[in-house]
Amino acid sequence: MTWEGRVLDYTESDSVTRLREELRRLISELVPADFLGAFTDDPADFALTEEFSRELGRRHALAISWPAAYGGADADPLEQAAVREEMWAAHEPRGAQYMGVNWVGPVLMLHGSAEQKAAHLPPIASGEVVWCQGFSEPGAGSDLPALRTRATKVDGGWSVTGQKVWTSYAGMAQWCFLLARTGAQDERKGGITVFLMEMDQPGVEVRPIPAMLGPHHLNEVYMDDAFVPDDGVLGEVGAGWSIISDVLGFERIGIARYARTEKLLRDAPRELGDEAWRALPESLRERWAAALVRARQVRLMAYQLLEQEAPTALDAAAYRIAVTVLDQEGAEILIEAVGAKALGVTTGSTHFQREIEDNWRYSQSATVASGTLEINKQTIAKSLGAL
Amino acid sequence: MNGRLADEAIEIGAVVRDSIEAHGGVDVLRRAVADPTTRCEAGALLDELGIWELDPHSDPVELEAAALVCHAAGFDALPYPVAERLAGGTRGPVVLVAREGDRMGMHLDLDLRWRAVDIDGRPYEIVGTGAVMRSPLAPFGAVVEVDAAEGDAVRDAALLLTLQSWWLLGLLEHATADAVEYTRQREQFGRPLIRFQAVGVRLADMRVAAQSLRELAKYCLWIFAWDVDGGQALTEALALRTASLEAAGEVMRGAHQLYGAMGFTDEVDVSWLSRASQAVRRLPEGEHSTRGALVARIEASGWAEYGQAPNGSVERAVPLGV
Repeated sequence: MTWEGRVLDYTESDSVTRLREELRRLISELVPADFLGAFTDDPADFALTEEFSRELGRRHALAISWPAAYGGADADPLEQAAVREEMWAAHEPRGAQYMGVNWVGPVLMLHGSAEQKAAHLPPIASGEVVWCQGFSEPGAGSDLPALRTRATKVDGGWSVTGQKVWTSYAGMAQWCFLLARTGAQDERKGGITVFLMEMDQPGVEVRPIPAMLGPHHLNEVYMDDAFVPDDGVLGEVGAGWSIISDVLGFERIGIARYARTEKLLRDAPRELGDEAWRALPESLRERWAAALVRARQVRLMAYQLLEQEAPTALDAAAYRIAVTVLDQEGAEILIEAVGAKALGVTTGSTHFQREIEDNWRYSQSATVASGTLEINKQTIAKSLGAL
Repeated sequence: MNGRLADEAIEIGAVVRDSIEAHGGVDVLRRAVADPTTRCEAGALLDELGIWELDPHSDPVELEAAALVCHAAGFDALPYPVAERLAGGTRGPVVLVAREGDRMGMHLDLDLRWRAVDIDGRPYEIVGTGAVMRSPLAPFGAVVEVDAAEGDAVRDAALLLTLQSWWLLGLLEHATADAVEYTRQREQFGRPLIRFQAVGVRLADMRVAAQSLRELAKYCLWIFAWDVDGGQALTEALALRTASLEAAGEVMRGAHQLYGAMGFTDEVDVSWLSRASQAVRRLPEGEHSTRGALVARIEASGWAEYGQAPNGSVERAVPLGV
């Protein structure tokens, strides 16, 4: 008898391999070799990502695993993972599409009305719109149920007043997936509603926060009598927390951080040159090899989550911990290997030196963004019995 | 992709685990340390289950079963060369020895037709074996003298390193589970230890270490099944060993810390697991040396892309059957 299909098999499917080849070709054709992402002081970088996202949308490759009816290609989760990996490894030429594609769209499919799905899903899949996430507030970070932004019922909709913070892409976004309190403050999770809020209106002001990550990553969003029509309420009024649980579920995989880490680690010996590479301390090259191994482990953990129909909170948290720690460890090794030339980057630096510098700065946020390392460890501890 | 081990293999692993538990679990090790001749009972126990008939070199389910047998043996630190016998297959058990310097092996006093190999895949003939040391960290260790032999044993080295990591994974999962259970039961300041955040964080770190090791251990079985000449499988196996040594440090240090003074006593299993893990962690060569060997292989031959089977996916080393 044959054991085909019943034993371990990690062979990458032909469809995934072809997709990777197509994406790499597209990147080499449309993305300049010195590209370091949309979040720079040069508006041309963001403009490039807008056009690149539309091109992916035309090929149904942006939200590739979505149903064709919404602009996807009904692809399997490993193909969507391949898109995430190829894009992140190439400094994310999709720009600010992460929120919309990764979780706003999937959550709308679960909780949106027919009208909301029709209005919002096709523009996300075609790369024409940017979404931001209005979750964190000055007094509500890891303790999200403490949020105080308030939505009050008015004629035809809701008036929203409050402040959000750390809001990535807010200055680029047309829409915000907003959490606001519609019940009493002491209801905590009970009194929260999800709103789909248009950003371009008089009551919404975005203030960029200068930061070591680079421009556009962090913003404050002030809402002073901002308006959301009744059809901008997602799900039931006051029942937003159950939707947030689904958001966190879709965010389990998140950014394919391991893909960039692995690529940069792979590139390092060639980029440094044989002589410089072999002159590095043996201990650093040992850390380099161990990090390559760790990147493989993290990728396998991500795929293991994708294979499960309903991943446990423990498995998801374990992956998040592993991938964010890898990101930072890889960044440390790489900046150590490149040395002073990474610290002193100028326009005359090599692309690799600039990549390593940019990667190190951004990686510092890995263990904070989308759920801190500490919260993820507590999630595991609770699953093990520390309730 | 299929990241799930075959049901048949899982079943064999479960039967072995139950059988070891029925014979006392870690008590088998306690008895063997007091009287090393009782190790033969451990070998007989697996013989009764037909484990030595498994051929991981020729059947993919038996390869996965061999891994899970090693996992079950490692779970209770069974004092018997399980990985060594399974990796050697019909050509006799194989022991890993250091590439240079002092060489030591475990269980070499057992009446088996031993062969030796190093982590570069070079074969050796055993020309002399010292007396069993009965030391705290290597109770069944013996000095071994070898001469270089002809040929290569790359696939033997790759499989043995892989199966040893499965053995260590079993041990680490046991230590983690025991630490979880202990911190649930043990109360201080009026509440279970696990309710203290610092304790929960430590357990989380242990759990993540073991879980990430398990995923890589499965992947290495797949590579081995595909790699006819064994070169890539050996690189991946050294990578797995690197990961397993790192995980062992995290898990065993955590288990000791969380058990407090109780964890050092002969009464609790963690104390025995900690000691038993040492031979696999330090022999044939320790963490630094293993990483160095891995660096050398990657620098010489590269680090394969994920999901690309060796040999261009043309021919499997362990056939799927017909």
